[in-house]
This record gives sequence, structure tokens and C-alpha cells, in this order.
Amino acid sequence: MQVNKMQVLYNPFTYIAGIKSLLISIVVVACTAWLCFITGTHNYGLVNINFASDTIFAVYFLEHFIHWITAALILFCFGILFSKSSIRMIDVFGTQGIARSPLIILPVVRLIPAFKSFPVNSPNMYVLFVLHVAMVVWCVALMFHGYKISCNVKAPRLIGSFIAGLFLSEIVARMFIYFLLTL
Amino acid sequence: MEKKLPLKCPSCNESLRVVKLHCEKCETEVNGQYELPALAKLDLKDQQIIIEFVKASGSLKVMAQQMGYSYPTVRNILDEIIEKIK
Repeated sequence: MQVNKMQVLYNPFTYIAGIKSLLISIVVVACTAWLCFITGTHNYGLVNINFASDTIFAVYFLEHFIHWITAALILFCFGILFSKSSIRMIDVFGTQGIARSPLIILPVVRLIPAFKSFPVNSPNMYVLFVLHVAMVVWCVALMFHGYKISCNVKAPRLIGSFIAGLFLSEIVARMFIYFLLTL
Repeated sequence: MEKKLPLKCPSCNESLRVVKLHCEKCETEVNGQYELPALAKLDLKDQQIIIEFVKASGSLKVMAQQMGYSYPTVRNILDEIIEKIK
């Protein structure tokens, strides 16, 4: 079988799912959280980021873990509601975890001293902003393909349920993270 | 060249039926109106998937490994075939 390398970048789930994807997801979330911890990069949900080295590793890990679990759980519920296939929880959690891979790039870039600390409204800040937007778009595209393959929801419900799941997970994850930060 | 069984009418795109069967040995010909079997109505690619499924003893996991695809991808392909057969 010929593997399309470009397809792997935006839809690797044709080839990876199940326990393999779940193990990769755990590694991805742990590595991203570790890099966020050493560079002081907070992810409050998917869109909102903040730069501050102000807490322990567990908080950075939980920020990523909560959003991953919330998004996967909500999309899995939507899959049960809208899909005619017999879907597996392990596929949904595995694909949604791998979909978070692009989020590792921003903290990696922040390892470069020029991006570690910088004045507000500096060119470096805008470079990070553009990079963050691009990585979020890539992440959402991967999440969409992960949902499409693991849940097999068909149009017209596919796009609507995905957008609803994405918004809902963003709200619920932020609520959990806010609760975590107030502890 | 391997001949491909035409499933749709090239003129109006309606499903085709069998009206004539022929014995190469004794030249007997049978005429009538016969519906194609459900699996024969599928295109060759889908028929190959069914063959792979049977070869894998109906295990999607084994089939996914043999085809190099993920489990949900193979399940989705089969679900599409099920929809076509229905």
C-alpha cells in the first residue's frame, strides 16, 4: 500500500487509530505539557494561550489533558448520537489526542531565547501569534478528520456536530481549567 | 484485456439486468429477465473488499492489518458497502 505523505500531515487517521493512536496521544500530551512547563506557555482550551512560568508541571499537564479528554468525550457522544456505525471510544480518544500534535510547535519555538521573553507588541509577539493561529487551524483540521473517521458521521450532520462539539469542548474545558486554577 | 461487467446503462444510467445466458460448450442460450446478484452489482473495488473481508474470516482487525489501514477506516469502507447492498 502506497502511503500519501501529504495526506499523513492533515489526515493520518486513515492509517493510525486504536491503541497505537492512544499511546501516541499520551506521549504527545505529556511532551507538549512538559515543553509548555519549561517555556511557561499556558493553553486555556484550544484558542487561548498565555505566557507565564508561574506554577507546577501538573497544572500545565492538566490544561492539555482536560481539553483532550473533554473534546474527545463530547465528540464521542455526538458520534453515538449521529453515526450509524458501531464506533469505538479508543479510536475517538486516540485520534483526538494525535490531532493535538501541532500544539507542540509553539512551545518548541519558545525554546529560542528571542521568543522566551519579549516586549508587548514586539515583532516576536506577532510571529508567535501567527504561528499559533496556523497551528490551531492545523489542529482543528486534524480534529475534524479524526472525528470523521473514528465516528463515521455523514453530511450534513458531520460539519454541524463537529463545530458544536468544538465550541462545547472549548467552553467545558475552560470551565474545568478555571476551576483547577482556583484550587 | 479483462472485460469489465457493465452495471449501468451507458445511455440512461439505469441498472442493467441479465437477459441472455450462453453455454460455450453446447451453444445453448437461455433468455429471460434476471436480476444481478447483490454482490455482482458492486463495483470491482468493493467486490475486492468483500473478498478481503472473507479471507480475513470476517475480522476487521486482521483486514485492517493486511490492507495497511486503520480499523475505523476499514469499518467505514464496509459500512459504505453495506449501505449500497441495502
